[in-house]
Amino acid sequence: MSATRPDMAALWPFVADRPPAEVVTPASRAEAAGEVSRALRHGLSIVPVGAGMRLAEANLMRGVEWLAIDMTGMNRVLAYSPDDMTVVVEPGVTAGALQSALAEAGQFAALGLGSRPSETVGGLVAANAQGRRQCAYGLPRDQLLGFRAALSNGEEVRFGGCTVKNVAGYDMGKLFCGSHGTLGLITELTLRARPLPPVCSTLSPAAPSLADAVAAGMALHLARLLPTCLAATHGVGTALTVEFSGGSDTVAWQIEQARRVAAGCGMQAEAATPPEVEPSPPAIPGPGVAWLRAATVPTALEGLCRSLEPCLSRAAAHVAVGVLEAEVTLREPLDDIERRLFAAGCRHLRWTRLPQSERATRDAWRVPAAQLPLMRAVKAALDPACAFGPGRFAGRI
Amino acid sequence: MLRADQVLTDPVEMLAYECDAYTIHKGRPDVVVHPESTEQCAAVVRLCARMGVPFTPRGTGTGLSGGATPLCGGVVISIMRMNRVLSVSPADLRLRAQAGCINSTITRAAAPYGLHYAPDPSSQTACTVGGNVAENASGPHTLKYGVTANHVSGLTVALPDGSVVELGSDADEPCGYDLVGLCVGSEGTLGIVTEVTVRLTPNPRQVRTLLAVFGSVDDASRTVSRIIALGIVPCALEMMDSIIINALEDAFAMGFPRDAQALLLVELDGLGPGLDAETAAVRDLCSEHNARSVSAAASEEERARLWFARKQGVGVLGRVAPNKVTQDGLIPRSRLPEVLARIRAIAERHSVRLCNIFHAGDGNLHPCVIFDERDPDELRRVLAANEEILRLCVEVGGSITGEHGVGVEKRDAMPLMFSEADLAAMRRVKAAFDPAGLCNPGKIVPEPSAEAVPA
Repeated sequence: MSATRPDMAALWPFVADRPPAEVVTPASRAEAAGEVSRALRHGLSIVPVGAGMRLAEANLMRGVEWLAIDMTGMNRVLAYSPDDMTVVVEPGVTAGALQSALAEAGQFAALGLGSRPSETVGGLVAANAQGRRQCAYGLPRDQLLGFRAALSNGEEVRFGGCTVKNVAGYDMGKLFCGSHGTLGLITELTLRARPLPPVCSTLSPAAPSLADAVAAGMALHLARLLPTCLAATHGVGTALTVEFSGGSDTVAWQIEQARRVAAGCGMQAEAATPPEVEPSPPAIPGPGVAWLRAATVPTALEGLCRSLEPCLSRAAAHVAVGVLEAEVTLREPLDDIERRLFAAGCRHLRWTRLPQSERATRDAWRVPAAQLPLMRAVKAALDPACAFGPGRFAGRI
Repeated sequence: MLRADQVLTDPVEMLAYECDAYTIHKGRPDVVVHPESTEQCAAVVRLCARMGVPFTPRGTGTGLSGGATPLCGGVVISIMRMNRVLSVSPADLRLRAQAGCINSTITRAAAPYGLHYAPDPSSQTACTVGGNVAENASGPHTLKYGVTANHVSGLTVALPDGSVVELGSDADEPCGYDLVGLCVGSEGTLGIVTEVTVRLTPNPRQVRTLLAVFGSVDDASRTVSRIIALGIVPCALEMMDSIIINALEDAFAMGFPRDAQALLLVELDGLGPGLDAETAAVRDLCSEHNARSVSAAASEEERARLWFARKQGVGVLGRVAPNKVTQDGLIPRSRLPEVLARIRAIAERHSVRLCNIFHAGDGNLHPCVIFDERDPDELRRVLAANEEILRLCVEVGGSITGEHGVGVEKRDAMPLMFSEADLAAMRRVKAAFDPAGLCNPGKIVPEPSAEAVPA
C-alpha cells in the first residue's frame, strides 16, 4: 500500500469489504491511463480517490479485488486564460489551490467554495457536490466545460472543450458529474471561471425553529432578490443565512431589503453564532447518526424539515433550490424516515453517510426504479468491463 | 391509435417535412404523423420498433443543422400538436409543458408572475421547447443566464422501444446519472421528448440596452474581448456587420448608419443599484475602442425595436441572395479579433459573400455565407469556405457548433474535434438507448471510418 496516504487506511472499510490490493499515485495522464490498463490486465476493479472526503457517500463495493488510484499526485493547473474565463486542471488540484490561482486574476470557479478547501476538484465533480451557493451558480455540472477520461476499454476520451458553449456531440460531462467515479477515471477538467464579486455581505437572523427559518427564507425567495446563499440552518442554534455578492451598491441595497423581509417574519436579532451554512459530514461515518441530502421544490421544503424535526441534529435547508442536507439521529428505522420524507414531498433522496451496519444492505440512492435500466445501459456503454467501482452507484450499478 | 387527420401520406403535403431550415440535405418521409399526447407518440414509436421502421422527431422545423431531416425515410413524428402548457408553479420557478409548446408561449404563460423562460433563440416565436431541448438551444441572453441544459430539470421521454420514462423531476438537482443532462442536446437521437419541466427566471427589475456603432469590425471585436476580460457580464452582447446592417435598412428602415462596419448591441440588467455605473463602464470601453456613437434605448419600445432588428438579422438575408448557410462555430472569446480577420480572408480567397451576426459575448460566431445554389461553382466554393471556417474554429481551440447542433450538416466534421475513441463512446451511448438504431438515424455521429472498423 502506498505510504503516501496513511490517512486513507481508516476509510477503506467504507469503500469496499476489503482493503485495496494496491494504492497507486499517478503523476500524469499517461501514468493514470497506464494504471487503468494495468488494473484491467490483472482483473482488478478501480476506485478513483481524491481527498477521500466523499468516498463514504457511495455504496460499499463487495466481492472484488481493487486498485485505489490516488489522484492527488495530479494536482496542477495546466492552463488558465483569464480573458476567456476558462481554466484547465488536473483532477487532484484542491479547491483551495484552484481558487488561489484564479483569485490572482480577480476570478473564481463556482465549485468547492465551502468550508473544505482541501477537497479535490475531481472529487467535487465526481460527487457533483455544491454547497451554499448552488442557488446562484448551480452545480459542478454547470461549471464543467470539458474533460478527459480513461475508460475501461483501455481508451482515453475527451469531450467538450475550452468554450463556454458547445453542442458538438452528446454532453458526456453531465454523465460524469455525480457518477462517483463509476464510469471512468477523469484525468483532466476544463472549468468555467467567473469574475470575483467585489463585495460579499451576510445577514444571519436567528430563528425559533428550522421550519420557521425556511418559511422566512421562502418570503425572501419570493422577494426576487439575487442572493448567493439562502439557507436555513440548524445546529447549536437556528438561523436564516442570506448572503449577497456583487457591487457594493447592489449588495447594500439587497441587505437592507432582506433585513426588512426577515423583520416582517418576526426575525430581527442577528444570531450570536449562526450554525454552519455547510455542515460537513465527516469523512468517516459515525455510529447512530446518518446524513442525507433530500431534493424537492422550494414550496415543499418547510414540510420536509417539519417531517424530520424529531430526529434532526444538524441541517442546512437551501431554500431557493429546495435541497435539505441534514444529520439525523437514528432513533427509528431509516425506512420510517424515508417514508416521512417522501410523504412530505421529497422528490429524491441520497443517504450521504450511513452507519456501517446499514451500508451492507441499503442503497445510498433513492432513484426512481424506472430510470435504473437506462442507468445500467449507460454504465455498460462507458464502462464495458464494469471495472469502475462495481456496485458503488445508485441501484448498486 | 391516431385519427385520419393526424396522418399525412400525400407526397405533396409531405414535401415540407423533407428537411428543416438546413435545406442542403433532404430526405423523403414515408409518412408524417401528428400525435397529440405522450401516449399517442409512444404508440407510434412502438409500432415503428415492432416493424423496424426508422422514425424522426420534428418540432416546427426551425433547426439549422438538419436534425429533423428524415435521412432514412420512415416516419416523421411531428410534435406540433402537443403544444399545451400543463402547469405553472411560480413560487417554485417551474413550468411544465408539452414538448411542442412554442418557446415564446412559455414566456407568455410565465409573464403574469413576473417570470420568463431564459433561453431565447432568434426563432423563439416559432420553435418548440422540445426542439430547444433536442438542440440544447441558446440565444442572446444565455450569455448571462445559461443554455437550455441549465433550464430544464425534468423530461418525459418516449424511448426508442416505445416505453415511456420520466427523467429528472421538478427538483433542482439530478439523482443518479444525469440522464436529463445527457438527453438535452442529443438531437432527438435517444428518444422523443414529449413533456418538459423548465426552470423559470424572474424578470430583471431594470435593463439598459446600448447600441454602439463602429467604423471597423476589428474595433468592435476588440471591445467585446475587453468587456469580457474586465469581468463585466452583460446579459447579451451581440454583433452585426455591414451586410446585415444594410439588409436591415433595406427591409425595415431601422435608421442604422449604412456606412457603419459593425454594430454592437449590449444589454445589462439587474436590480437597479450599480447598474448605471456598469453601463457607463461599457460606454467608456466602446468609446476607448473608437465607437462612432453609443446610444441607449430610451424606452421599452426602442429596446424592442433593437431586438427585433437583431432577431430578424439572419432572416432578412433572403433579400440579399436566394440561399444562405449559417455557420455556428465557437471560439475562445479572446481570439475574436484574430478569428474574424481570418474568416474574412477565407471568404476573399474563395470569392464568397460572407456576413457576420453573432453572439459575440460567448464567442459563438454565425458567419452567414450567402449564395445562389443554382450556380454549381458558387455552391462548391461556399462548401469549401464553410469547411475551412470550421477547421479554423477547431484550430483555435473552439467547436464546430455552439447552439445549432451537429445534425447531418456537421456530422462528417465531427472527426475534426473528436478521436475515433470519443466517437465510439458516443455510438455506445446511442446504442444504450436505441439498440436497433431506428431513432433519428444518421445524425450527430458519423459511421466509423474504414480504418477504424476491426477486420
